Amino acid sequence: MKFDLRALKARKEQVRESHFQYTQGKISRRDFLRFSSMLGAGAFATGLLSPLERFQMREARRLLAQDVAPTRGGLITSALGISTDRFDDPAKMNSVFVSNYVRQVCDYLVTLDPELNLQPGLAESWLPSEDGLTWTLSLRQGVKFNHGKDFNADDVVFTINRLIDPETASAFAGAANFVTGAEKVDDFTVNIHTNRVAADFIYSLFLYHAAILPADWPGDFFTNPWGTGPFTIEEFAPGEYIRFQRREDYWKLGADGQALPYLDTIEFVSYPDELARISALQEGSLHLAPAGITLIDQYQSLSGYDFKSVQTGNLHIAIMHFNEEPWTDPRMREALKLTLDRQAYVDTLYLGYAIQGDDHPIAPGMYPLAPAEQTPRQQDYEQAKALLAEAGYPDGIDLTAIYIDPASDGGFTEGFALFLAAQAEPAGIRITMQPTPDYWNVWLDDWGPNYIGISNWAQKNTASEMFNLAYRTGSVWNESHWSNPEFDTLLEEFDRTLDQEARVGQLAQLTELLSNDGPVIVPGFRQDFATMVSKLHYNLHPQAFVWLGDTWLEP
Amino acid sequence: MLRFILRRIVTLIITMLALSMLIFGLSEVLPIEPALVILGRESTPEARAALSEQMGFNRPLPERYVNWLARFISGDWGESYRLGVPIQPLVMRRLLNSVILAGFALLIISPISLFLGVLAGLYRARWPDRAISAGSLLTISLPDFVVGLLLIIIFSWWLKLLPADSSLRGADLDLTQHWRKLVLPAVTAAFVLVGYITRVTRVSMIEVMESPYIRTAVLKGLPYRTVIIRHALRNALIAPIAIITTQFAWLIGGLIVIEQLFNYPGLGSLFADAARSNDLPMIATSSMITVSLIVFSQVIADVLYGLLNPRIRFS
Repeated sequence: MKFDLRALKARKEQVRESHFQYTQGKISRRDFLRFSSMLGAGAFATGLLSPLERFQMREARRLLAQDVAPTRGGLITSALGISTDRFDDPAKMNSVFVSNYVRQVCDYLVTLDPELNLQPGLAESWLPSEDGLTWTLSLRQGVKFNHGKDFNADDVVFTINRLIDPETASAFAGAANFVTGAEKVDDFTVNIHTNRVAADFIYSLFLYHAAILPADWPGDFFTNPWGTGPFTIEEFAPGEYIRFQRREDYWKLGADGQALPYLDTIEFVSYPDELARISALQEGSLHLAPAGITLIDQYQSLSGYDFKSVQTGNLHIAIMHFNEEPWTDPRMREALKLTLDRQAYVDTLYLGYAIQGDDHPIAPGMYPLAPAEQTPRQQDYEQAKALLAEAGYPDGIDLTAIYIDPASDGGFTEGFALFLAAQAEPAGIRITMQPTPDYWNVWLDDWGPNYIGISNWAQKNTASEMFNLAYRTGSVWNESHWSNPEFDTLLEEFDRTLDQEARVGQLAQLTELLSNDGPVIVPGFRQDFATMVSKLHYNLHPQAFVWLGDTWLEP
Repeated sequence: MLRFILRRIVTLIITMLALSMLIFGLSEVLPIEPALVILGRESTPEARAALSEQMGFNRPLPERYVNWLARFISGDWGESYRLGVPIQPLVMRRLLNSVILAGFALLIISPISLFLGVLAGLYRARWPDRAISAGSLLTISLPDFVVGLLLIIIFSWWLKLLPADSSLRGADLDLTQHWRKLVLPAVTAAFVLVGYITRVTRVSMIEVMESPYIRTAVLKGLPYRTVIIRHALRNALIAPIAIITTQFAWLIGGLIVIEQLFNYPGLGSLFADAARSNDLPMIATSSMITVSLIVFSQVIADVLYGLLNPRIRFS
């Protein structure tokens, strides 16, 4: 093959010139790329674009490609969001990763799709009673469990009642503590009773513990993985490997009118080491895997693979104990919040793959009723220093930051801790690092004066769930010890109002209260990353749920 | 000779007992609350207290130690907190995988390092010795993950000859099918040991070549080759063989980094996963197994040395 170096250089120059015009806004991105591929330098041109631009382009292409009919068959190997730990009882699951293998085998009454829209699952429709204390669910007909039984109301009653039974000790009972019981009305109608009006009740049916089990389930999900889901478990080596096989009689239909799933076989393989994972991707023995921002160059250079990201409501958080010095003074809390440049957080820690936060955990666009965007407070060192002086610290203050130590989480939390310390320093707030191996033993205790905690939270299904877990006075995971009676009253109202429009306003009020008066700092909400073979059509879910029922592989 | 072996066995038992107490003691000191690990962070304190009582964690310490030791000796190694399966079959399976990998590595190490060490000893201070000494220093200094990565890059990514992913996907190890997956991990493990054993062999060879009886043999007029093969080698190789025996234990239980890098389901990665997920019974069992392997291999090496070394054999 003849290789003309001079011609190659000339072409590269033309593409560079064209790119310059694009950055000046003189030509559109599409024209720039079209011109470059005409010259045969498409790849070089794409390399000139920023990662975000490349990602946007691929997304646009993907959306277009969805109009193509899916092909059936194939095997994929995935390491995304999996756990190969063995689990006895879906009700006792304690992490979203374990739920991801149950999710292929069992269905839920409702689901949140990757765009976070509520979709009917085993429940086709739902209606609250006049007084709001009973929800009537109409169940789907013609569904079979993978062990032969037909799905009906008995199974829903069985599942819900055992979830709230204290003997089962499921975390569902804590998260959905207003549910008092389920009762069968007829074979395909169920009433679920609550002890208070719960406007977000339906979302609790998608808590990952609430996989619907058959009424004749004898226990031990490992030996009896019975469910209505699209796959069955063929082989399970705990700690290593799970293989799923397609079911022939799944109830959901695909785009071609035949039953889902499209794929024949799925393998979940555990790769604890990131380098080993990249090795396997390079080799082609892994099709779908999580990716990280630290090795982003390596992931993006894998040929035949796409690096994808999805915005999530997952967040870093800094905790100032509301009941301890110096955070009892609202001026101190505001001062620390003002030292943060949130755009810098997005750019430095996540290379742009994040959105800014405004000191409350409800990510814009990621929760029902939340606004699509928000404008967070800006960095203001003058104001911060003034507030510090007013509060009695004209020479600044020394704080200690405690957080889970890097050995446990790979330095993930420490990254934000260091960022906060750097941002706070110019205002005279000097933070010393104190990584704490037993952070989870002390995170709810009092720490003493001049401490700040650093942690992180995952997105919840609803704002109500998040507030009731950690921000209501006396709530079980109120790590910041916040107590604001106005917030509590408003939250109660928010939970009981069935009028969705009114709730939008109430949520705005709640987040504003929390942002202004609250003792937490939320700098931003990050994106989750994955890498997958280009031929794979799979939509990442913001809440790290993995469902392969409608995933397909090009031939 | 018999007394020699008997004494070694008594030492073995005493050492194992002491180490088992140490391991049990350490697992008590670790800030791991078993009920918390099993039920997860979202569980209530009452549920955890009930489970702790049920699992017998409130019994007095000596009673728990004796129970644990008795169960361990009888082969009942408990259930993994994280995986919820009995530990014994899981560990046995991983142990078998590790033993095979170790065997593979030894197959590479032994001939190469013994040959090179003997060569270096024979040509002492001349260029073969200098080259071999420098080379062995290099291989000792390179960390195993660096060697592993280099081998992956060369043989897996560039040449596409061998797989970088040695996971068995849940299947049992079948040498006819999976032998290619063992090559890179075994070579990586062999790298460091080759350097070390070469050096030991070299020193041993030099010592033997300078001993009086070798000089006598040469002065007697025996051909040089006969001197080496009939007299020098069998004495020089005693020490390296004993050392290889002890290293066998490390090759079985200590390849944590290599197993993680290649995703090979061996004992080392099981141990690492257990440590990462606070899986107390698995940690304790893995420690006992690794420690037992090392102590056993030391005893076997001692006995072997005694058998091979005529001075001890006939004392």
